[in-house]
Parts: sequence; structure tokens; C-alpha cells
Amino acid sequence: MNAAKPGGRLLLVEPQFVLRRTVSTMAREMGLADVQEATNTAVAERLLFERRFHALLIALDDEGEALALLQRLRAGAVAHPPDVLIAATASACDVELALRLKELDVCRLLLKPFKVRGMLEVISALGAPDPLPAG
Amino acid sequence: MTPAPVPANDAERLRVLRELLILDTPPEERFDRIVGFAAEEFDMPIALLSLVDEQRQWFKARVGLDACETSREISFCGHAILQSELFEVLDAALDPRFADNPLVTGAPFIRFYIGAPLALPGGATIGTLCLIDTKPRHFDMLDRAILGTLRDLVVAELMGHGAQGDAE
Repeated sequence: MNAAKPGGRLLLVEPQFVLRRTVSTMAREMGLADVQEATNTAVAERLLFERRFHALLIALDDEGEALALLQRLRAGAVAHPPDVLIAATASACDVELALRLKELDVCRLLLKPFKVRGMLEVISALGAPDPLPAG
Repeated sequence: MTPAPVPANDAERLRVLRELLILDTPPEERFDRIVGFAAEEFDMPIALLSLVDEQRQWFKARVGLDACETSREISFCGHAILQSELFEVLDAALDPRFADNPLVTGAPFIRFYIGAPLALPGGATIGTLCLIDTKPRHFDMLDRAILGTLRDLVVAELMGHGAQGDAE
């Protein structure tokens, strides 16, 4: 599959190497997005400080660190514009989590077990943004 | 049955394979996780990292198969290493090259096979990342691209450029 021009810059926060690398490589090759990878929320926060992203696809962890990052992001406490598009993956979702994600304006939730194909569909649905400023 | 052909560069291919010092080594998590991921991603009962040695194919990582090796002559991967792209057999029972192959007529009763050749940067194809089902299947373009990406991860690991220290 030939590399295509990326549609936008997306931050993928996913601890599992094989899933993360496969999705990022495929998304780049399909021209869905220029995907930057983060293994955890600490790396993600650093990347959010350094660059601008049009979308964030983040794995929700059991410790709540991902939700805490999203909370700070939406509250303007992270050095990144708070209105970034956000999608999430999770192992399960109860009413409490669903309400929390709604409050955080998370536009898509992908529940396990999901496939690479499903994550690519989410990235595609996040769409290409308006042109990003340099940085 | 068509026995697995021997490529013209087999001596050089085997030299490269043996220089990796990987044959007959214990399982490694870095390969197991890719093969396991491939099996789950495609809902395949069998997934293998197969290395094609002179007389056998030996499995560095395997899901759904007890055997750690089979003879090269009857191996599907022995055919796949001659290809530059994915090698796919949609229904082995209907394919004259494989219909009377003992891996088709007996356990593990292969019907569908797809193998991504592990071509190293120097050009030697030492084995495959392959998927096997006991019923006919078909891979679409996206499936094939995903398998190709997983194959590239295996090659990166073989070359020592993988995800060392990456959290799982």
C-alpha cells in the first residue's frame, strides 16, 4: 500500500506496541492522518505541549490517568488548545463512564475487543481538520 | 502435491537465516505478541512465525499448533518464500498444488493459508508470518495491508529495530 498525503495530525495514546504501531503505520499509509504515537499519558502530555493536533485517540486505562489528562485538556490546563477532537478506546463502559465521556465531549468510544480496522474507521471519522499552525 | 520449490539462492538464504542465530531458540515475547495479535486480529485459529530451514520449517512463534516444525517439502511457507508479495491459498482442498498435501488431508486440515514473506534488507527471504484456517477464507485489500504491516514489525524485530523496552 503506497503512502498517501496525511489528512491531519492525530495523537494516538495506546500502550500496546503492536496495536499502536500497526494502526499508526496504516493510518499514515492510507492518508487518514499523520499519527504521532504515545505509550502513556505522560508522553502524550509532552507531545501535546510540543505540537498541535487536530484529534486525539486515547486508550482509557484502569487507573484513570487518561481521563485525568482529558479533564485537564478540556479545562485548559494542558498547553494545547482544549477543543481538540477526542475519541477513546476502553475495555468496558458503564453509565458513570459514559456520562464522564459525554461531559468531556468525547465523540467516539470503541470498546474491546476491537480490530485495527475499527480504529482506522474511527481515525477516518475524526476527519481532516482545517490547516494546523506550524509547531 | 507440489513439493515446496527450492529457490536458486537457497544457500545464501540459509546462510543469512543461520547468522541470525534464531533457529531452535526459546519462544520470545517480542515475536509471540505479534503472532498472537495477528491471530486475534483476523480471527484465525493458527498463526505462525515460520522460518524455512534446509529440510524443515521451524516455528519461532506459534498460536494454535502444537508442532514446533514440519518438513519443508510439505510446507506452504516453502512456497511463500519464493514470492515477493503475500502468498494466498483460498481453498487448499481445491488447489492441485496442495489438495493431497498431508497438512490438508490430515491435521491441522489446512484450507486457507496466507503468508507474508519475511524478506530481510539484504534480499534473503527467511520465512513467513502466516495465518491458517480450517475453512476457506478471503483477505481483502485492508486485511492484506494489515498483515503486511505486522510482517514489517517481525522483520524489524529480526533486525533488532523493534520495540525494545516498550510497555505492554
